[in-house]
Amino acid sequence: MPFKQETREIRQERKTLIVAIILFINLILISSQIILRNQRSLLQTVVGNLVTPFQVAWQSGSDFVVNQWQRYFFLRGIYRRYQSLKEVQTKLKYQNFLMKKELRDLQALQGLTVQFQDYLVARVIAVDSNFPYHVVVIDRGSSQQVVENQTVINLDGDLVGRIVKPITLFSAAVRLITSSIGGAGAYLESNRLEGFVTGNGNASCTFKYLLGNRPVKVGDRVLTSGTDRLFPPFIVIGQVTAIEKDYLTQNIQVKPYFVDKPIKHLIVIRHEEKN
Amino acid sequence: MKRKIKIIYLALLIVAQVLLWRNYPTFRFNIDFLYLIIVYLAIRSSFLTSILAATCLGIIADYFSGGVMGVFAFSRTLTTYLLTIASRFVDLRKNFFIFMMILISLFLSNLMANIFFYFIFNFHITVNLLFIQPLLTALIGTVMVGLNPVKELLDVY
Repeated sequence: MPFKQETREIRQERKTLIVAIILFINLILISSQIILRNQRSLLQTVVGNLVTPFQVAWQSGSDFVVNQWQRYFFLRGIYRRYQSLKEVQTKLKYQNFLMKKELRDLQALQGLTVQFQDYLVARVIAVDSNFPYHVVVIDRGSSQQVVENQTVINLDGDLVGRIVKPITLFSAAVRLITSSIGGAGAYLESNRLEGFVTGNGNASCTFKYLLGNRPVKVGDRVLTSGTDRLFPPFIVIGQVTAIEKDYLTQNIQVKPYFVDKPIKHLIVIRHEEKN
Repeated sequence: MKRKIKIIYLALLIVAQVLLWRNYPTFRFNIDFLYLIIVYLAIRSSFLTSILAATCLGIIADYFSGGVMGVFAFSRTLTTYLLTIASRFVDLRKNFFIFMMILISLFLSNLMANIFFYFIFNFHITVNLLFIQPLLTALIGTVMVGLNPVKELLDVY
């Protein structure tokens, strides 16, 4: 029987392992020379396919960490910044409100300047709490050439009423158009049908003397017609809120615009309209 | 003295194979002297030496055969592993067994190399590699080792 002189005995498992390692190395060598259809070697393809998921995972992981880190630094102190910005925003909103109000007043005055040659801004100093839709008192009187029957409008140009007695040096009474005494010549803007608006003693007025067969719609605007020779024409009064058919005429309810707006400042038109 | 003669003997085999490859490339797959060295080392040397020598000689064979690096190294390494196991059970005093061992092992080794060459790299060297080379190498190997003085000199028993 043949025998080999082994100087150092290696266990069979280890021998197999050594051979497997060497064979594996050889296979790698061979695979590096097998060119696939994608013009890359088998080794490159296999290594690429094995390594790419780890590369992608690594890149995604590092991107995630970097993004979270940047986000953390970005978010640090964000609450304080948020509070300060909110404060600034509140200030700006308030400024915006003030400027809008100022602009509205200026536009109203500018509009009045175009429409009327001479007017006077007055402040309401008294309202009769028992009859709030009847008379108010303003702080302009005969010393500012305020006379009876002058037209009074609010800052938006809506008809409020007219000057009535008593008129003192520094005050005057304004009879509102919602007062049940008096009235104003008016017409419907949509079809120019004329009538007469008189107050009901509450927040509404009645448009009278319109024939029953005339078309009227809820929401139509009502303006002064000027035919009463008290109020200048084309001043906005309000809008139609309800229509009731009578025998010959229609009972039309009109809500003046000024009742829904602040009545602190009013404008007294001292002369008739320019146009 | 014996050791030097062994080394010279093996070196002559290498030179003979290299000369064959360089001068007669047409016959490069007809005989493999390097395989005789591999067989001898598998019989006589330690496991690690024979495996590493087989790998190195396989790479040399790859280089000179003009094929693909690693193919012969792979097949020769695997064959050497089998030879180291088989050699324990073969009576090397009989030349027939030496012949058969070289023939079968080289056939298997070349079959494996041929699988790589033919099916992966589309090289057509089947007949020479599978049949002629194992036969000629086994014949020459048996002749070179089979003589009793040579057996004594190379410690083949």
